[in-house]
Amino acid sequence: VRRVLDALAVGPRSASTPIRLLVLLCLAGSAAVMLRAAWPKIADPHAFAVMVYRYQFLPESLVNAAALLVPWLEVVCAAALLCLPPLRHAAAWMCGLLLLAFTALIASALARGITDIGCGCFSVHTNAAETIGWLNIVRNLALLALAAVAAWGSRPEPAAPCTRPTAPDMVPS
Amino acid sequence: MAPPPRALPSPARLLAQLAALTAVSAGLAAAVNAARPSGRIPWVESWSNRMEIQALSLGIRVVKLDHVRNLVEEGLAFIFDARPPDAYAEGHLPLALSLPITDVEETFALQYAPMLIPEQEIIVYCSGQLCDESLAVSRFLMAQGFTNVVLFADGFDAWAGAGLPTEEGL
Repeated sequence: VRRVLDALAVGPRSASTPIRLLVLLCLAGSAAVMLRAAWPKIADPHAFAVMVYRYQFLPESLVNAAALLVPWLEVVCAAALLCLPPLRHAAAWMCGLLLLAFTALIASALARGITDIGCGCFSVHTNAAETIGWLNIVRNLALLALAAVAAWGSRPEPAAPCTRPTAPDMVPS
Repeated sequence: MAPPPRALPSPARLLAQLAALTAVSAGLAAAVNAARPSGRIPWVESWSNRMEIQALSLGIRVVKLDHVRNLVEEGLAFIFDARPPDAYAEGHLPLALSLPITDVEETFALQYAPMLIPEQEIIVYCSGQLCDESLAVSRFLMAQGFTNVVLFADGFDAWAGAGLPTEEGL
């Protein structure tokens, strides 16, 4: 197992195998969530733009840009988490930042009394029966915990100290 | 000989990588949106033309398809179709009554006013988000003293698009 984890470059090499397996689980879980969330938004950007607009948070001029950019941020994050070890740490951070932004957006809508709108999280059906609520926030916080473990487990390790071999004739006499 | 490039310190490297991920995402978003055969959306759009934002700014409640469907299924709804009579005749929501904006004052006074009480929930719709007849009818009804006027902003297109039953004829 350790050899497979080494080959996948998952988790700090100094960590125990169960911890590295937990990191692997969080990386894969975060990537799966991001991909699942991105697909319907990419398939129907207009419907997603309507959902973004209904939060009444962003200025009009940014609604479509956000609707176009967010799903691809999710896809790129997922790809980096799964396939690009050098960028995993940044991708996990991006994943966490996105989740924080979504959570703040939902909390802000609820605080302003906007409750009769779809979440736009995993579906962009503008008439989806599910409306936003505090459960969305709890779910996002759980996903944020996954991203936090993924970020911790993929942080860059300090480079080994450089020990240059010394030629015998260079040793000062 | 130039010294080898030094690795960026950790926070700076993280910020650079976040910027790189964002740039790649923006590039992909632009490319896929440009290559999309249909369903392409502009990066900037004037949303203020949409009926929904105008309704919200006027304090008119906007409801979704499920809310309207429940009312229709329970037979409790008082629904006005604000589209022209020919569009109404081609197909409308079950129970919906025709109240075209072109003839709203006379039609309402003669046919519907005696049936309604001011607190009655009244749902108004037209074809979809980009029409504005339902908003105009809603404003008219509010001016008549009705306090529970509700806009079904997604309109007939969303109802028919969801495969829900419609009725034909006047």
